[in-house]
Amino acid sequence: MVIKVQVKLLSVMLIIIMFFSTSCVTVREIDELNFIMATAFEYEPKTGLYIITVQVPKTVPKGEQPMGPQWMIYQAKGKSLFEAIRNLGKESPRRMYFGHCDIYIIGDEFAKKGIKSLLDFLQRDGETRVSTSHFLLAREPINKLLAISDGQEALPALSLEKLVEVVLKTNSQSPKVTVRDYLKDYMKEASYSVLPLVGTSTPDMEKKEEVTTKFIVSGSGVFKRDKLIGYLRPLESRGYLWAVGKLKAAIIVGTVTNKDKEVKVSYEIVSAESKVEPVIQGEELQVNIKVKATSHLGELDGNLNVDDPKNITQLEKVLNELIKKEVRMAVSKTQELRADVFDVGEKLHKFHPEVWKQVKGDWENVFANITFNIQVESSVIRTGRITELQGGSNE
Amino acid sequence: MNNFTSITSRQFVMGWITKTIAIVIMLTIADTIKYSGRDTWLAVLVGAVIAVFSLLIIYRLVSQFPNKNLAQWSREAFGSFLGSVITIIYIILFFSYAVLATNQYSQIMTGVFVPEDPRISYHVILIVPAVYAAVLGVYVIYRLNEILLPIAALISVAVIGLNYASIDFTNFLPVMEQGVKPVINGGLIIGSRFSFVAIMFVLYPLIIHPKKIITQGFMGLFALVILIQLQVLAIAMFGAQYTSTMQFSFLEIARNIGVSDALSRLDSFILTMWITGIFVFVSIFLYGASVLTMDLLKLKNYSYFTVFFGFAVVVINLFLKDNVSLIKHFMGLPLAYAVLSVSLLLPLLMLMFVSVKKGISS
Repeated sequence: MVIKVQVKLLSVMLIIIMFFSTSCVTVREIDELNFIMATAFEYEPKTGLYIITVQVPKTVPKGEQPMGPQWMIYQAKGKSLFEAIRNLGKESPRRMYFGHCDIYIIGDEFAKKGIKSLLDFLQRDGETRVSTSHFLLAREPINKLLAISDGQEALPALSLEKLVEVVLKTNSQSPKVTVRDYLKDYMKEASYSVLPLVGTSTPDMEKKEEVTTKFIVSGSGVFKRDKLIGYLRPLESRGYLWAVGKLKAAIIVGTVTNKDKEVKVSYEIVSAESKVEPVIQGEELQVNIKVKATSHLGELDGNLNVDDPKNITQLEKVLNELIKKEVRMAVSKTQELRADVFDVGEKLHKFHPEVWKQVKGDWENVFANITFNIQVESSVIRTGRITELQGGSNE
Repeated sequence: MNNFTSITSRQFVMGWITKTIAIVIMLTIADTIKYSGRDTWLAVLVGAVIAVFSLLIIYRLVSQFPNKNLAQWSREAFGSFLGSVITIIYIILFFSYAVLATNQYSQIMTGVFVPEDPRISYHVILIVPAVYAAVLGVYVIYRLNEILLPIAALISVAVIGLNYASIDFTNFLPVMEQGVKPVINGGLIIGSRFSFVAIMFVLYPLIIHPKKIITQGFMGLFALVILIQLQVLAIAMFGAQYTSTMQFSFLEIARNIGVSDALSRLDSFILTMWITGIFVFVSIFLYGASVLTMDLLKLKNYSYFTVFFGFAVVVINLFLKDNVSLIKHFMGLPLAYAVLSVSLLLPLLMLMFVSVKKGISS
């Protein structure tokens, strides 16, 4: 009897739930969506309009091949960023879907004006993924950037996404920054961020028709809160990466002396770590930057016996100075920009809150005059498959 | 008492953990962070102290009336009128919990995941099975919870474990920069959610070996504090200022997972855990409100009241404002004061009254 009642109750319950779970109201089929893979934002100071450009893959019925490139570009303008985004729908019969967009490129004018509206949208919207999306700063017009096809991947957006990763892992001269990373910096009391710069590069060849324009990621832009305030050149950018411990790999070229002859050396940095520490010396605030780097010997242009420990010590000393020079370049440039990209203010806030209270009102000026003590400890742990290549023009 | 109408003290404590986590995980923790900032971990400890008092006071009170629930003993202890009023207060409290939890569920579903969906569909989808489970009896809900809670706890730990690389404990520094007030305010909010233990007023006569409640309650509280502190780790990942802007910080932790390209977008795990918890929460409080009403009216069957309360939850939610910020504001300090006055202050007054009365009569 009890079981019969329970079965009836269960049946009624399931029937009621069925009516409310049909998904008819908000059904979204995959062939009704445009999956945005890359988005670029720009601002027109003359008109006060925001411009949004998106790249979406072409979708065709199973078994058919798309005509021409496998991607399409949509562009729209609006009085606000959100209006521009919704205006994309005027041209697209499919609803724009941001859930898979992993590349966000910011135009130069928009960056100078301030990207707060973009940060707000990316966090507020339910579809966007801030932890996996890359943030990049354009050093060329947005229209040119998203329209190039480098032939490496089916979609330029995928190519660009891989490039950001590969650049960091092969020869770091730009940081990799997700939207989440930027937002974390944005919310700090001393808020400064560094974004990678993306542009295009065309090889200098005689037959222009055989040349493909490609993306290039090198150098970076410096932001104060949400506004672009300056740029770091590639080596300054690398100096910044050394200091904040984000450098993954690098090729550094220096010169050592052997038997009164100069030998050009290419070091391959395979790992690095660092520590930025504000210290109070008497009444003066100083910052210690300690960098540790591990390298392999990549190339010797000259003669040097790498079996001799003295030579290895000399190689390491030279590398120390080269790294120190790059960090010094980054420090000088950021002090000139008055941009505390090394999180010194945040560290003061955490570990010396009483000092931070005194200086935070005038932090930019304080930061610009801080003494940085840079210490580098590097090691050359591999010298490759040969010891010394005898002979040649350097003999 | 057969095994299908009663629960063990362990099951009771596990139910307490699930109810609290289900409510804290989405909105409460974000609200607490707003008040306490990077000192939220201290606020959780303050909340735990409030929970200890709540647990001890309510246990001490109900243990004086074994085999009876609040509706049965309150008239005996405080007289017919006052006893009925107190019972009605708790019926309203438990019913309000069911309304608010259902509202919170539909707000989050339509606010974050499916904005175009009509909210009523989520009310119905949650309430119908919750009413069904409550009609089947308390054992069904707690037995179900016994299976679901370890899975939910495991998911919580896994979500944090997969974010290990993003954790920076220095984000908790400096400690108490704004003084002790933010910690106390946050502690009151968290403490008020711990006091869902007030369901003991209904369930005490159904608990086998009720003397174990205190020992197991403390163990449960310890587990609860650990599980909530895992959610506070959002501050260690994102920093206090950034976390305080998030509506649903634990969801952001899940969205932050990115172990290679294969292991990411794990929001569904968090949702599974949370929806399960909300279901258990609503079932238990619908059961509590129905049983108290049945005994207040001296009837034999509570299931009609469960169906009525379920229907009422859906109807009331239709009229509640569709605004997550408004609900969040109410669920902050105002709700904390209201809940603490009913689940800490009122039981304390009742305990004092009962103790004095007993002392005089003896």
